[in-house]
Amino acid sequence: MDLATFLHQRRADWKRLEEILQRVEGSGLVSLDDDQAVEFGQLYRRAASDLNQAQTFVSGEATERYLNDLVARAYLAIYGKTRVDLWGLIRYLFWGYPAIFRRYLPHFLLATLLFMAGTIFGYLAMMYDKDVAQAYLLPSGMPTIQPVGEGEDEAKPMYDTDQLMNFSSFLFTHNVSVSLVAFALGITFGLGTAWLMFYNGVLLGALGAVFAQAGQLTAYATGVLPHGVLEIPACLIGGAAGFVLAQGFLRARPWPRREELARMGKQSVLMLFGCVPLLAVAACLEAGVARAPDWFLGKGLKLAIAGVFALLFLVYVLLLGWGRPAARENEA
Amino acid sequence: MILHEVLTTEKVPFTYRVAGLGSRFLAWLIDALAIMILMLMGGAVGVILSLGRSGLGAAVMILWQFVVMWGYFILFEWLWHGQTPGKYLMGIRVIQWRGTAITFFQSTVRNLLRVADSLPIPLPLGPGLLGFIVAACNREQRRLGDLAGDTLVVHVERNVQPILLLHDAGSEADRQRIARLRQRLSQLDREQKQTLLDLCLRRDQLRVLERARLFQAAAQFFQNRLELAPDEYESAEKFVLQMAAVLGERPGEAAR
Repeated sequence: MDLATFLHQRRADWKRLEEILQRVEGSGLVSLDDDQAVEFGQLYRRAASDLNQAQTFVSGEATERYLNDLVARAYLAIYGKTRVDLWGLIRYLFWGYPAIFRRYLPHFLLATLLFMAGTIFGYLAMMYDKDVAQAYLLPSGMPTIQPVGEGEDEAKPMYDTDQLMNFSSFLFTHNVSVSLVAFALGITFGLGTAWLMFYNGVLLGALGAVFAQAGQLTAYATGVLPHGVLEIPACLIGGAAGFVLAQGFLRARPWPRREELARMGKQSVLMLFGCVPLLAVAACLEAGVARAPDWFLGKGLKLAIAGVFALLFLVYVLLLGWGRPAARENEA
Repeated sequence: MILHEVLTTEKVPFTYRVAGLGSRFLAWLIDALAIMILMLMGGAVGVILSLGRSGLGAAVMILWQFVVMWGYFILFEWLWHGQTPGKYLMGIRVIQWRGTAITFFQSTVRNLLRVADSLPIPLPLGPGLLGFIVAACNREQRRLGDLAGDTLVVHVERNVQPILLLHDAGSEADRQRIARLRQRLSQLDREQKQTLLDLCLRRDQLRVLERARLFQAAAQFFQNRLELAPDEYESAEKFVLQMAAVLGERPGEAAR
């Protein structure tokens, strides 16, 4: 076809499509009534076929480029729907997530193994040579718990709700950050993730040794366990998600690496998101239970609470969501 | 210019122009500035709140900083269909590899991986050395976050309407003149017609001097070849545009 005729015949449709597009890009597809929506679809398909024609028969670079951009805009507007699906989110949290967790259990166990190795290493190093270990392993000025000194009465409990708020929000954000960084570093073939897992283990072990030397291991346990039973798994989940990502990078069969990495990228985020609610609960426990004075919550009670939450976590990831094989996976 | 080809569900191929590292970096600078301002605003609110209760102010500040730091890019790119304020101003956007708008999960992957892209110093805001190197090394200039999220950054065309402008150019001309023009224009061969149209359609992409020179040349050509002259006080460009508009109309419709 002649370019002049082509332009003249089709121009009105394109103009109309641009008008509708402008509206959709401004206030979404919802702003169209039924007739307009139908018209939009028709105009888009016609423009796409015009583009096809321009590419094949009609010469004229400017026209082709114009149509290309028009179709690209319409394509994004039509196929770009993102809606918040609250029910889907709930389903994911209660049934989808446990199933995904079980699918990537090996990754979780790998993270656990590294973490435990770090713990043992930190503990032994601190026992063996305290000064060197303290200088090299523990960051200086880390806001953390200390064993009660000789002259001191009792660890100052945080009664103050103000301080509790402050402290739990700090813990929550700090721990989520650790999990997120552990996840992101999975792209370094998992090396960064492995190091973070190991190092966090070292911190736990070394601190444990400090308390053990002061003869206050029970105090340490009651201080760390109530929130640690959720916080540590959350950190490990971040690490596991990182390893899932690393797997996508390392294993490229049977698909090309680009596709495999993209697929595992989505899977790894599904794995990662489980740690956010865990950490929120853990932060509350940290502030509310671990720091509570002993006259309010006895040591035995604190450990019992830790045990209950550990059990709840296991029930959650091991018993929920069977028979719904990762319901959320395909929708996501 | 790097093109990324996409096949629509109707099996029509079209292309996106891949955004370069320059415009992406500028977009990031704008976003970094916006993040700084947001943080300062949160800080101010925190200070005011802490006048009442010290713990509350600090808690709000910490949570706000956390949300802004990790959530700014994720939420904007998800809710604004792949654009942050910086990307909007630079006229670029994030899309899926297959050409549609990105999902929440893709936005999350691509933006959490800013930490990895900013290596050797892992910062949540990124991007740093590693991201640049990786992006410079592949055709679509995707950083690690793009690779894992299955996304890429492209230019958006906002004001491309030369074809629509063309329409109005000839409407003022009187009928007699149009009839004469049409008769003369039919002497042109197909290729000449195409060139005439292409020149008019692309005129917005030309620099001012080039544009004037090309239209002058075209007007001269028609004057010599078809013995048509522009009216007095009529610019060469307007004269050529008028001919292009007439060219598009078919004889039957001219009477309207």
